[in-house]
Amino acid sequence: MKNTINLAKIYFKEMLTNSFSRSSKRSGAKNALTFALLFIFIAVCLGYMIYNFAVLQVSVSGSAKGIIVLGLLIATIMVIMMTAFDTQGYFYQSKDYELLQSLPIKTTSIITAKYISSYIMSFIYNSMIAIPTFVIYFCFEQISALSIIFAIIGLILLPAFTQLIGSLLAWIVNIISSKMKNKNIIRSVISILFLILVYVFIYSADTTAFVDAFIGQVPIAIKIVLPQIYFLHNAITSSSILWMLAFVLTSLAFTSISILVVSISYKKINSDLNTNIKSKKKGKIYYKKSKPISTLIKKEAKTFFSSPIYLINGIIGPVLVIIMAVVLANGMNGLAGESLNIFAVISMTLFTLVLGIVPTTAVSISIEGSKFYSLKSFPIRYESIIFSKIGFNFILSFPFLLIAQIILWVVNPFEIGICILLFFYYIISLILYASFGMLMNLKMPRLKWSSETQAVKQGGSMITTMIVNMIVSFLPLIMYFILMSYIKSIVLYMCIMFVINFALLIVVLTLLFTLGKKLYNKIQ
Amino acid sequence: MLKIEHLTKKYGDKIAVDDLSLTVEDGKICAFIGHNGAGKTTTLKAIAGIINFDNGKISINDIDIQSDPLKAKLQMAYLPDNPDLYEHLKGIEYLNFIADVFNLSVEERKKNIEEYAKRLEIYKDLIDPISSYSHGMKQKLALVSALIHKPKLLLLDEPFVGLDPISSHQFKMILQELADSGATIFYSTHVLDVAEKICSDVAIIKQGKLIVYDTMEKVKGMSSLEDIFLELENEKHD
Repeated sequence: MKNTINLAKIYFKEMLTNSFSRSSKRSGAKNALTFALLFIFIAVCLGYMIYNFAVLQVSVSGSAKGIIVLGLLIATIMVIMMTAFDTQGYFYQSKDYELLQSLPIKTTSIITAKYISSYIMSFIYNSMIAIPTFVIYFCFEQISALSIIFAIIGLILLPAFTQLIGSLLAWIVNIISSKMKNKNIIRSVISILFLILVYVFIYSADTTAFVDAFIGQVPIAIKIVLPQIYFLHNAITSSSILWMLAFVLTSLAFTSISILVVSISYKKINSDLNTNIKSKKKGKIYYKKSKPISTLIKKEAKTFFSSPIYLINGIIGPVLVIIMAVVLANGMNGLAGESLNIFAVISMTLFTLVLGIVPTTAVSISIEGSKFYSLKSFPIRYESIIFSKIGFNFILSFPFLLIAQIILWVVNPFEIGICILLFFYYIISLILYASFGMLMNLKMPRLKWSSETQAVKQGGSMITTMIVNMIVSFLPLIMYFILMSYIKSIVLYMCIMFVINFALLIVVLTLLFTLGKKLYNKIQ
Repeated sequence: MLKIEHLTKKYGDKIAVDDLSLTVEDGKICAFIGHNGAGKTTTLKAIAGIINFDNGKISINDIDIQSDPLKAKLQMAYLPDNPDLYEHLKGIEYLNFIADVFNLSVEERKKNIEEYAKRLEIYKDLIDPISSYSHGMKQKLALVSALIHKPKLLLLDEPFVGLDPISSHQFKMILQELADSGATIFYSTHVLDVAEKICSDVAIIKQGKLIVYDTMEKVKGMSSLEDIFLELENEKHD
């Protein structure tokens, strides 16, 4: 137990250290404060969205009871998207595996400590929605001491389900890939398949579960798939101890199963993952000259595709663009005129929103780890390194964006002028978001990590980039409502948006090549 | 030629390197010796252009590392104490990557990779992914990558760690050949008997300050380098 707590403390400290600062000597209190401020900011934004849901719900059904199911459903989906793929990074192929195995610590203690560490991350993401959900619920509905206690217990135990999904995924992915030659490819493929499965589930749930939840009913799907939410909803709305007991027992069962699953063949999977199955010598030694910039982009691509965590993190945006395009195409089928124009504005917001979530550049320096120092010792211009990282992000995202555009165009084409403006708007946005991510990673590089998850998911640069890019991506929608009362032309509106985005790009690029260069030189 | 003038590097209040000046001439192999935390790696990183420094000037063949880092870096190779390589690449892919960075022609890279990879007995393994390499093999690959552009200045941080005796012997010969051809070699080490055998010069650093810098012969005189080093270190405790 002592070992578990000590290890968990180390992991927690590691999580905070270096996340928001270039200096490892920066105090934990300062990092925690930065983290808390970011948390409050996101929670307030999401809280505003949930508040609007609650107001609508009250007007439709006369009660805000359904907000618990709706809020927690959104929280669960978000946490699965944000953390389920990363759980494997805590348990498998972490740099401290051999060290910990050599020490007289029980394997269950190690697994439990790692579980706690990943649980904390899920808890943080979950709380960003769950806290505002409960607060808003209590603003609309009767409040009692028991329901508040239930909400607090619920908040603590809710991540058990997402942890179960993460642990199961981690175990399945790694037990399969540990037996294969091309481990990373297998891990990436299975993770992507899971990602698609989650999207399919969300997409199908969109028309059933969300609507039911919205009118204040607990959908059957929730009762079966997410009993935790069902039990907690009943416990809070009826202040029932029995329902609460059911919730606690379910959560504890999920936790036990998660730890148990990961414990199965833990050592074997890790040793197999660390052992490379050597194939018979294939291929031959070749000598091929490439331009430094092209060799740097190739290096970026190889790094990206060889790391399942990095790959999943970076591919979410492009895959979502396609899904968004399909959803939008469904909605705009048969529309014309002003109604169709609104879809152009929505597509501007949604496409840039999902592409801006996590540009690869936001973690591209952190993922280099100590290799970054070697890169710095090479005769490569700062501009070339930056260009290769932004360039790779562009090469990765652009085809998806193009396909999304084509989907919209095939279903119901916008006017040619709008199409051209949209096309250039997306290009500018892609470069803008990637450049900002790059700048943030130069400001907050996390070069010391024990698993890739820390580099990719726990860096301050990733979180800051995500928030700022989210805000910028909502600009078209906000500006539409402001500008369209003054100007009536959608083309003029788009021209203005293009100019705004272009101006933002110039500012970010100027910062990247002045301040960014200084930050790059200071990384040591 | 490596010229360091009044190099000072601070980490917060702590002075890691304190007013260090030395010049290593062409064709010299200089051992850089000091206790753990003396400032050896910091000095090497400053020369390699990895870290900025607070004071002083470093030039490689009269090219200032701060004012013209690219030109300076083209002349040198730096090998860290525990080289972290791109594990997802194959050995040959990594070497081609480095060769591209140094803009080597196909003929040049072929000739040099073949020469050094064969001598360090890693040539046949170049088609394997680096992730399948042992620690020693990674060290050898890193050495080959540092040699393929025939640097005029070779900066090495503990280069013999992890090498088997044959490769270690080969590497010493390679260093000697490079020095004979006019290259400058500056390397940190704790293996004093090897330094004694192959180095023409020796620099001893203590708590960030250069306390001895001269030819190996003059420094050790009649005793061994180990005796001299221990004697100087003991002065600290007196």
